[in-house]
Amino acid sequence: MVEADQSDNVEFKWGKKRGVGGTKKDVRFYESFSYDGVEYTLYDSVYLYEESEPEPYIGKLIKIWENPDKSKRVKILWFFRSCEIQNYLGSEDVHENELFLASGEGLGLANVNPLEAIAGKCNVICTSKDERNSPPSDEEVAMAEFVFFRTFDVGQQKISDKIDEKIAGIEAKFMLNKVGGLKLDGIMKNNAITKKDIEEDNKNIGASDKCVVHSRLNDISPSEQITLRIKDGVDGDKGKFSVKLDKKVEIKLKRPLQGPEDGERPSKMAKLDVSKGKEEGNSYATISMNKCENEENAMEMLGKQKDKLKSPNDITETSLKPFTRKSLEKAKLSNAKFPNPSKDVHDEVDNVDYEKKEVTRRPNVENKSKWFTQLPWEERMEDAHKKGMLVLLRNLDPSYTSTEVEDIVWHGLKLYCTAKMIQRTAITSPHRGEALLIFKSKEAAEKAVKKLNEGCLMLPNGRSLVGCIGDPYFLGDQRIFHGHLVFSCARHPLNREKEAVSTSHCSQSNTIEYEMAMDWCLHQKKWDRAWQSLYKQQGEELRKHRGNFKSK
Amino acid sequence: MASIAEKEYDAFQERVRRTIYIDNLSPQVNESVLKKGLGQYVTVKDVRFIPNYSEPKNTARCALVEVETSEQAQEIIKDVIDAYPFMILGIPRPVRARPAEEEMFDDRPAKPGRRIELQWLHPNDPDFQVAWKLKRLVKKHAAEASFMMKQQLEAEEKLAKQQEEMLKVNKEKLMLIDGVMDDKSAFRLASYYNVNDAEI
Repeated sequence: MVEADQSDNVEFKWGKKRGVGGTKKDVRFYESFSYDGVEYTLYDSVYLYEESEPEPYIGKLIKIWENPDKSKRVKILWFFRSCEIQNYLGSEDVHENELFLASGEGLGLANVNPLEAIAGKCNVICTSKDERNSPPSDEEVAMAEFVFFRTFDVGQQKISDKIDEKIAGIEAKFMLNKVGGLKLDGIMKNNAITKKDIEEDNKNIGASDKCVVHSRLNDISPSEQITLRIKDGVDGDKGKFSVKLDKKVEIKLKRPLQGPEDGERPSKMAKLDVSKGKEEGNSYATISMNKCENEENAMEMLGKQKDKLKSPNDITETSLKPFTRKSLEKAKLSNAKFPNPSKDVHDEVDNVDYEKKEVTRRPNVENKSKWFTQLPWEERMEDAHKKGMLVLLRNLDPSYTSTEVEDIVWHGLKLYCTAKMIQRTAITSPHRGEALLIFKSKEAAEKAVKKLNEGCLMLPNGRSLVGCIGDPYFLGDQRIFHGHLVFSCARHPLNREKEAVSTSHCSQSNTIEYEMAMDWCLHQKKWDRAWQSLYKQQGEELRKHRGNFKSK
Repeated sequence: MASIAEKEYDAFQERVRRTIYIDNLSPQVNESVLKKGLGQYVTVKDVRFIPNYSEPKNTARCALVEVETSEQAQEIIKDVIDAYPFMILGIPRPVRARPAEEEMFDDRPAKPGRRIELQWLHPNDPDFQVAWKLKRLVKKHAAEASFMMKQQLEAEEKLAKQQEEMLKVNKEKLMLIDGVMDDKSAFRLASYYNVNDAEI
C-alpha cells in the first residue's frame, strides 16, 4: 500500500490505505502518510503555513486522500487561536496557548487543502474534563505547544466547553487525546452515547427516515462510511447527485434494520438525506470536493440548512472555505477561515479598559513553530523601519524577556507585535529596559505610540510605558572605531602591527603601546564612573518620583 | 510546568555565571578572532555578539563569551583582562571584561513564577499626572544617556587622535635617532665629546 511519490522533491510516502472512492474507485483514502520525514496520521494536529499570515494556522487532519490526478489532499478541521475569535470571546478568560476547536457548522469549520500546505506537526493536547477524554498528564500538558478544551461554534459564533458528539462528521473521540492502543477502526463501535443525546438529536433533526439511516449505519466500519461519503462527493462532482444519493440509500437499506433506540447516533449522513433534495447534495458534494463553481449558491444552501438544523450535535460536513484555483496552483494553504475578527480589534482599541489586568501568555506563539524560518531580526527590523512599523518601547523592567514584552503589548494595547528586548551592555541603563517592537502595520505602530503617549499604561513598580517610533542604528556598513592605530615604524621593534592585528596580546609595560593602553584604561574608568553616577542620579530621580504615586 | 521552567532558569543562570562580557571591541573582531584570542587561556565554548541597536554606529562592540566553568570565567577576568591591557585585533585600545548579567542575554528564559500586571490609568486618577511626569522623566533620562554616549565617543575620538599624534611624534623621534646613527653623526659627536662608542 505504499506508494512513493514522484512528483515532489520532498520525501513523501503514503501509509496505511483506508479505502477507495470515486466512480472509478480512483480516489484513494489513507490513514497515514509521511511527509518530509514526519509521520502523519489521521486526526493529528498540524501547522498549516499561509504565506501572507505571520502565524501558521493549526488544524486537525480529518481526511487524507489522493485524487485520480495524483494530487494529494487533506481535510483540515480548524483550531482557532483566541485572537481570531476575539470578538466572540467577551470576558472569557483565555488560558495561555489555548486553542478553540471549530465546531457547529458554517464558514470556517473545515477546509480541504493540498497536503503540501502542511508545515509540520503540532502538539495539541485536549485538557477537557469531558469523560470521553483521557486526562493528559501534567507533563504532557507542559510539553504541549497548545491545549484546547473549548470549542467555537462557527455557526452560532459561541464558545462552549462541551465538545459535541460529532464535529464535521467526525467522532469527538478522535478530537480528544489518543488513548494508547486505541485503534481507529475499533472506536466507532464503542461509543457511549446517552439516550438523552439521541433523543435530543432526534428531536432536532426531526426527520424519521434519517434516524433509520443512522441506525443502519451504526455497524458500518469507518472506512466503509468514508467510502460512501466520498462516493457521494465524487459523483456529485459530476452532477449525478440524485442518482448516487439513491444508490446510497440502497446501500444503507441493505443493512440490517435497527430501531433508533439501539444506540444510534447522529451521523454526517443525516445531512445527505435524500429528502433534502438534489440541491443540497450538490452543495455538499461540490464543497467537499473543492470545486466550488457555485460556491455562493452552496453557502446560501448551507445557510438554509443551518436554520433547519439547530442542534449542536448536528454537524454538517462543510468545508465552506473553498479554495481558489490560484492557491491550488501555489500549493499553499487557502484559508480565509473565518472573517478575521482580530482586524476589528483595531477599531475597538479606543475603548480603554482601566481595570488592572494580569499579563498572561498571549494566546499565540508565533515563534514556537520551527517549521519555517524567519528572516534574521536585523532584516525584519530594517524592513519594518522603512515601513514605519517599528516602535521603541521604553521604561520596561530590564529583566523582561522579549516574549513577556510581546505579552504586555498584547494585553495592554491589544496589538500583535514581535518584540526584542535590547540587550543590556555596560553602558545601558539599569533602570529602564528598552525593547524594539515590530508591528504588523504602520497604522498599528502609530496607534500603539499614540495610545502610549496619550494614556498611561502602568506596569509593576510604577513603570509607565513610553513608546516612540523606533529609529535604530543599523549595523552593516563599516563603523568607525577609535583607538586602533597603525604602528608603521619600519625598522623598530614597534613594528608589530601584523602580529598585533592577527592576534591578541597583553602588552609589556616598557612599550609605547602600553602607555597608550593605560590612557585607554584611564578613559574607560573615567567613563565608567561617569555612567555610574549618571545612572545613580537617574535612579534617585526615578525613586523620588515614584514616591508620588498615591496607590503604591 | 513550574518545575521545568525553574530547571530551565537554573540552567540559564549557570550559563550566565560561565560567561564573561567583553566590550571595547573593534567591529572587525569576529567570533574566530575572539576564540583565538581568549583560547590562549581558556576553552571558549561560545561567542555571541550583542547587537547594538540604540547607540551610534561607532560605539565599540561587545560580546558574551561562554567558557567552561564559572571559575575559569572569573580567572580570565581577574588574571588576564584586568591584569594587563589586553588587546584584540589592534592596539592600543584594550578590551574590558566583566561578569555577564542575565539581561545581556537575548535568549534568556522568563523568570519563573513572575506575575506581570498592567493597567491603564484613568485620566482622572491622581496617579495619572505622576505617571505622565514619569514618562517625561524617562524620556529625559534617555536623552541624557544618549548625550553622554555622544560625549564619550567624542572623548574617544579625541584620545585616539591625540595618540595618533603622539605616535607620529614618537616615530619622528625614533627616525631621527636612527638617522643620527645611520649617517654616523652620532659617532662623530661621540668622538668630539670624548664619549665611548659603546655607550651610544
